[in-house]
Amino acid sequence: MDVTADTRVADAVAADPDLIARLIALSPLFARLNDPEALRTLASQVTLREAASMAGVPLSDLLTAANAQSPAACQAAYRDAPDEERPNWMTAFAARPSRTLDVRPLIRDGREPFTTLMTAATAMADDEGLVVEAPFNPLPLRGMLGRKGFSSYAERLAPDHWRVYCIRGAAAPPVPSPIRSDFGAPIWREDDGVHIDVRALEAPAPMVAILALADGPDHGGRITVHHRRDPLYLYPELAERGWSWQRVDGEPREFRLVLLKD
Amino acid sequence: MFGGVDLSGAGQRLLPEHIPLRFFGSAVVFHILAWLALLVVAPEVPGYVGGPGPVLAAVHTLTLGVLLMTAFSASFQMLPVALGCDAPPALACNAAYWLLLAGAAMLIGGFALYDTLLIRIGAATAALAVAVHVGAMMRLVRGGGELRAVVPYVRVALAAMAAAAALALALQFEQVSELLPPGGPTHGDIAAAHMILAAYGFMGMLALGLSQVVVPLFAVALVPYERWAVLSLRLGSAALVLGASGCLLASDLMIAAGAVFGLGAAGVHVRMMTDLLAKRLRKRLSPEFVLIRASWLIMPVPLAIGVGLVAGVLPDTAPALFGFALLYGWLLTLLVGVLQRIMPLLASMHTGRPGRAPAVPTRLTAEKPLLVHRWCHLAALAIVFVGIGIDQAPLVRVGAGVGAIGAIAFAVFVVIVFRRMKAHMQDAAEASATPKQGKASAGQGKTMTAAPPAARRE
Repeated sequence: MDVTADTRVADAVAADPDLIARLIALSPLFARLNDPEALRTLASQVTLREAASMAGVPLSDLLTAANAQSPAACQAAYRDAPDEERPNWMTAFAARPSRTLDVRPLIRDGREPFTTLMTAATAMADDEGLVVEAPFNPLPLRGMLGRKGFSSYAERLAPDHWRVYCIRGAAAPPVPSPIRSDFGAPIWREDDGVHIDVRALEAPAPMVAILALADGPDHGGRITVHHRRDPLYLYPELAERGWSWQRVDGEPREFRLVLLKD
Repeated sequence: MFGGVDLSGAGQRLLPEHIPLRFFGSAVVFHILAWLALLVVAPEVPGYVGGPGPVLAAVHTLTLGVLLMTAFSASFQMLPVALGCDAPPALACNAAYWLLLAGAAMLIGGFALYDTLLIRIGAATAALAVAVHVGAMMRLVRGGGELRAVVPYVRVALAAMAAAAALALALQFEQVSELLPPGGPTHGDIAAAHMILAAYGFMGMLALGLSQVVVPLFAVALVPYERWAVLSLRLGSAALVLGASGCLLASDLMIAAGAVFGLGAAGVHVRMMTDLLAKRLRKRLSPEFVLIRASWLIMPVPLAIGVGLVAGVLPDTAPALFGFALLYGWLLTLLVGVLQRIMPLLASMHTGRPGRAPAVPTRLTAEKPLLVHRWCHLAALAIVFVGIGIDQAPLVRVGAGVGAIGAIAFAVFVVIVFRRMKAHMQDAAEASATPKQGKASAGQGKTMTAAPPAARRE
């Protein structure tokens, strides 16, 4: 398999299981890939380019490790991701009242910090800041915060310690309000309605989480489900409850459904 | 709008509908025959301790015709859906079916007629069916994916089934007996080990494992703690090893220890299931839970009888009580309870087509025949159990007759589900052939981008 900077980590590992050991040699953060859960969830969403940035490893080194047979070709073909430029708003960040959230214990315990982070971000006032202490540069989460109108900047303090600064963007759209989930599935609201992401859950938790939302008062008659696969057992339950469904475009390896209450 | 997803193909996770229908349909017929066979052999049941003959034929009518037939179908169809992987090839499923049907028929006939040749051919054919099944399931249970707590149960079940089939073959060929050392296991010891591995090992482990899929599915609940599932598996596996080895080594102590470990596994499993139900989302449980809960109550009974047998404190009818409580009491009760819900569910999944509303499971089901079956089944269990216990063959006969009535009612339910499924599919086909007026279905099986564009995610 020809591994490039845009190859997803999970795909690269699937093609070459020995890759994990070589990646760990570059950064101990990659030891998380030995957890099948992390491999299935986080690694399937992150490219090698993003992984290099998250771990603070030069992209060329990562690609050399991934394409063990052609290190010279890799170094010539790809450029490292540039260091993140410190934004102007960081000069005034220290003057803001801010809250610090350390998600490293959560991640160490194998728990997803998404809901905790979204709750904290939503609770921020316009003049406040949020500081997140994480074991790596959480690019997927920062991307989602960016889509919701937040600006962020990350600096690496140690190989397994990153500090991320967040503020509300100058022209931020209305902040979506997260809804608490009791089944470990992130739930949030966007302009088109409520979303639930069950990709990190194992059967039967996805079905239970979706039905709990569908049976509750928070859905507003429309739910977008982000799933890993076609939930066959779910459809008879939805039909019983008077819901219809439609598959829509989603991310790679995502099975996305829109549910509508009849 | 409905079903923009084609449920029938569904990434090859759903088998063509005729395959599970064939397995379940055959099991339904054998279900009636199993109770009728018990009615016929009633005089010989209370004192039965093993050996060929009509009673063994009746036992295998239930074990091969009902339990194994259903177990094959459930593992071929339900596990791939739950695991998110492709179903086994249709060729393997069909081969397993015809081999099992032929093997069961020959074995049952051979036992009933004391025909050694027929028994041998039937045993070999049934063993081949098992081999096909185990082979087809290997890809599913390689692990590393979903249902980490369930797949190990299936692995143990498959290993136990392979061992049980090997022992069954060994029972049929004198050449194997000649190879055994003097003082080694007797024919009866091997038969007892075969029974433990087949009933508790394969059916029992499969039941415990798949219960962690179907009970949460039916109740809309989460399995409480994975560590409980692991504990139950370890206790059950220890019970199997001790029990089967104890039979082969003629060690009462090992057999008793196996039964005690089995009681432990049963206790943990029942605790896990009741805890799950206590935290369920579905407020009102469907009627199938009457039978499912009854099976949980019955589960420790044969194990307790086993301990009493080894201790020598039970009457001569205890071996027959053990067999009846295990096969008709626990396994059959759990199975028919699950089937009541699974059959409409599977039928609903098969009616889904792009742009067409799938059939709602509760509209496919028929409550009245199920009500008749439920109470006839429970009454039959009680009557036959008492009849065996007090060595009253007429009571066994009455109970078996009541059980047969219940089995016929169950067959009526299955026919109604099938006919309603077909009617729904016919109506849907006619509706799509007719020019549509009124509400049009969006996304006719195609993927479409989410609307409205202003809210579309990047």
